[in-house]
Amino acid sequence: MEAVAQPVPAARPAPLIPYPLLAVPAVALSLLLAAIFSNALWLIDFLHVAGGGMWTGIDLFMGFVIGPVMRRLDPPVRGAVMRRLMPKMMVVMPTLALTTMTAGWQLARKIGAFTASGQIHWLLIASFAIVAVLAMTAFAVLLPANVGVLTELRKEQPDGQRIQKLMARYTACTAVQGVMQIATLIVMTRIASL
Amino acid sequence: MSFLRTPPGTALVSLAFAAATVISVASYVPQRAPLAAPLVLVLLAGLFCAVAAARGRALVARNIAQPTLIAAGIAVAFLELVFAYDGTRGGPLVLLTSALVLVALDLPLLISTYGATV
Repeated sequence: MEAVAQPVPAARPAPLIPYPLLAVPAVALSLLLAAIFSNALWLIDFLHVAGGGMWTGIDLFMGFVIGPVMRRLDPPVRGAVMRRLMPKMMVVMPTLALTTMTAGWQLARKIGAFTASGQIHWLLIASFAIVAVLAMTAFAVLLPANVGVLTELRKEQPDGQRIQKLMARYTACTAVQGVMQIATLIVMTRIASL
Repeated sequence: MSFLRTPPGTALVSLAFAAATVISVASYVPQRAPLAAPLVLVLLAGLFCAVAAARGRALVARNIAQPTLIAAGIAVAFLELVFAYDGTRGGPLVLLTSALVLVALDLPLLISTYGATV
């Protein structure tokens, strides 16, 4: 009897983000919910300061340390690093941004910063505008470039020129992010010292 | 300028108007914000979102759009929860909700059509 070849089902492509990584936003957002509903000022303050510090620190570290190092790596090595780094960045950075902003809003409400007049009020509005610029550059360039590079690297024949083009945009954008992050530090430390 | 004519560019313009809506309402908290300017901003955000959707419909990469929509939905739900928990009600809450829903739609549109246009 002749063996009949069974059609091999096409392998499902691996998800862009490995599922275990989703534990990071799950834990962070659970803590945030607990802080908000328990009205725990310390926990809200902790999430805002720790989240903001990590968000700013990672942004500056990526822009001014990892970025220049990556540019000097051989393309295959750079590709291997990006393939491992990008999924983590795509999970960690939006989680830090959301945690910092939400906890910051709650903190400002609890310490009465919204009802303060004069300099604190304008510094708060400046921080809203800075966050808006940070979010716009992140969503317009950083995140799409991340997804674009990752998608390209998962192809059998990645288009090196396209990756280079996307990474050039990514790097230019990190400079804007760096400036905005420093502006955030100035505004936040001014508010804290008033 | 040409990027702004592409579907992700149009979604970005919508996102900017939606963010401006949220900032213009939030900057008055805890007082009630005047609603005329945010209303115009949110309508513009909706208009650009619709244009982006129409332009980018055929270019959407579903494997990217679906997880982005879920993630954006969770993030927006958090922000909505915070505003509602803080006692925002009535017109300002409706405007904030509309702007946040548009953000949740703009993000997957922007990210999932970026690869096909850039």
